[in-house]
Amino acid sequence: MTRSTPVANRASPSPESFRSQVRDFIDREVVLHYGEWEESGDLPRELFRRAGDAGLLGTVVPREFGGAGLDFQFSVILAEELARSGAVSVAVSFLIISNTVLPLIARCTSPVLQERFVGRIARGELIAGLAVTEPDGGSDLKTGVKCILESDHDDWIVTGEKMFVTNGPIADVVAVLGRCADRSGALGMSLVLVPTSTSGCTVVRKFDKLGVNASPTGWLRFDGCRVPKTFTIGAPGQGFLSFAKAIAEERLLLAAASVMYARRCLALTERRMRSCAARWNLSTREQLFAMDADLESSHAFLRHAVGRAVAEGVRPADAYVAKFAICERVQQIVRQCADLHGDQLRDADAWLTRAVLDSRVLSVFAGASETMRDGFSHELWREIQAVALGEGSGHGDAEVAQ
Amino acid sequence: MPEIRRSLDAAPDEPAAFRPQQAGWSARESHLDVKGTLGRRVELATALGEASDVAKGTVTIAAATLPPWLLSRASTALRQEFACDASGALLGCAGFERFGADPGMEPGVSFTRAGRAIVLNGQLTGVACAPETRLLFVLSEANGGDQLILAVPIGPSSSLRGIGDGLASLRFENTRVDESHVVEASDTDLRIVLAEHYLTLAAMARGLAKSALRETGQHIIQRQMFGRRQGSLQVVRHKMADLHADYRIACAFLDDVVAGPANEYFVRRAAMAARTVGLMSRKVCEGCLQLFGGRGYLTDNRIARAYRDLVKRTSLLAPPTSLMWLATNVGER
Repeated sequence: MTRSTPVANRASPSPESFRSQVRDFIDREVVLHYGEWEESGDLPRELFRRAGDAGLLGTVVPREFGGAGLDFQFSVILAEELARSGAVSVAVSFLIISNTVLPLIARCTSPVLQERFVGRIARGELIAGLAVTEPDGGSDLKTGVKCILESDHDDWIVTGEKMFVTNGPIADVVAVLGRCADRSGALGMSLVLVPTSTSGCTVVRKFDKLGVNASPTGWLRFDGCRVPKTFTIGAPGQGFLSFAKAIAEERLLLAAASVMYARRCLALTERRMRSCAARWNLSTREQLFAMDADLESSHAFLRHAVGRAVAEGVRPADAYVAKFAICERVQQIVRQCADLHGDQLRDADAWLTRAVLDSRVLSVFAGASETMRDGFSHELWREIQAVALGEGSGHGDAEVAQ
Repeated sequence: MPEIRRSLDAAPDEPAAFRPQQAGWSARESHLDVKGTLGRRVELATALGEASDVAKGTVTIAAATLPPWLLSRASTALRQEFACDASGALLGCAGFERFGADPGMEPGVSFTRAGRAIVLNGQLTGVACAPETRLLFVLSEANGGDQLILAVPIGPSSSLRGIGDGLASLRFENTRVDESHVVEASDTDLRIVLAEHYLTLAAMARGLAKSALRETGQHIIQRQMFGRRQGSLQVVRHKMADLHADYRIACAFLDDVVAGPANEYFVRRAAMAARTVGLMSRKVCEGCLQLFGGRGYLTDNRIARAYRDLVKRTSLLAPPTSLMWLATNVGER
């Protein structure tokens, strides 16, 4: 593969060869430098260009827009391999581009915007971010979005602030979820692509986080930013629905990545325990076995969910379960790995401290656990009611109501 | 990766439709239906669990996998004598939860050699067997940690007790068995069959959890609390969400292992799946019981009975030490 060969012109890889390709990329471009990036709290722009050149950013983007045109399982492979290497920050920064922003633009945007941005983002020439959460809100987007999109002839005037914008401090373009000035509720929101070079767009702050340091997260302010209406992602008023679909995929990916990350922690912990005769006792082995079983079961669930997603799109219930149940398990396992080390935690085990802090974000971002649990419980409740009233199981998810 | 033969996958005849609700207590009738591929046995075990018939289910499942396989490795004389029971109808097994256990632990049944005879002493409780059981395969241990599988005929003179709910207590007091009753089984093969056995038990537990979730769903939609449906309370919905999430994850794992290849990882993954599903079923039944309030504490409630059965049969559903040892690599112990 050469740098001059466009991704869209390459033959489609098999899942195995793609996995091998991702591993090569990580070994070559990420592993050696990752520690420095975590220290500095930034990812170099060149990394995005190289990832784009390797075809890792536009995996699910159709070939006509310069992507690789692969299905969702390839995104899962990318997420898993980045997590397996421990490069969580790279995973977070890449996945928000490859599986949230890019598919949104490729699927839902006007041809003008597709031609202007999709190829360049997929090649890593432009870095993209997603601006959804606001200073006064959290996962309660339906009511929490206050950022205003004011119509002015052929333009939107964007006014508001966005928090926790992944890639925000280094982004060239951000997809902003805003509320049309005269509308309320979920159908009153639109997604608009805003170039950060637009007058009025500023980075208020780059956050110093507990973990995932290298992935830059920012607070952006939009002070009357004027962008053409052709930069609207999808139909006006459909922004929240488009975002909900994209974020469901991201939740599955995060769960898949988190399971692989926990496996790495478990493998390193087991190696450490085996090296210490006093620690390698029945209790330790039982704990390791239990954690391994939890990860295996989580992985099996995700494999089934991804299979369904490839065939028919992500089921919201699968995404909810993956996000709250599996991510919470992973958090617990990583903490348990640290506990197993006990007072033997040494400087060389800094990775483990970092793992605990990195994994802490799992139940917080991309939809907090409480919100996910609530969303799933509403799905269940609807299904149970439908069965009780003899209306069948609704959208065909028979397992929900048994 | 070498393919490992599964115990009964080669069964020539697919069983006729099995309806656990119609299965009587006759071990001969119900056991004869429970054979075939692992997937089929898991499916039937789930149906037994859904029918919340743990006592019968445990005995049926306990006899479905391990005893027929052990009989196929017994001496010619034994095979001929019990040939009509080869499906497992009148066979049982005991002590196998100690397979691979720490030699330092006190054995359930110990053996010593006396010429051509093998002398057994000790006691086993919670043995799943039916009143008609005629031959019992017992895993016995010597002081040094050696383990021996013996086929012990059960007759009028045996000390088989307490079979009312499908679980028996067995006492061996200088019980003598001829050396020809020793069953030769390789460690690797035995692990595979035990793994399948635990998977079918786990499937029964899955069935119990499934019916508990279904009944609880119906309950929370009918029950009124504080002037509204119980299920409309957030705390109840969230509890149900947690239980359903655990159920789905565990079921996906069980199905994945059963449908997956019988390679060298099968035993380890099967042990993990058995553990995951066993724990899930107890958590689900316990959580559902709670949502029934006081009604969940009465034995006329099916979920209360399911919970009781799971507590009583903890060692049958997920004996953690046995599963862990089962999961270690062949030869490691």
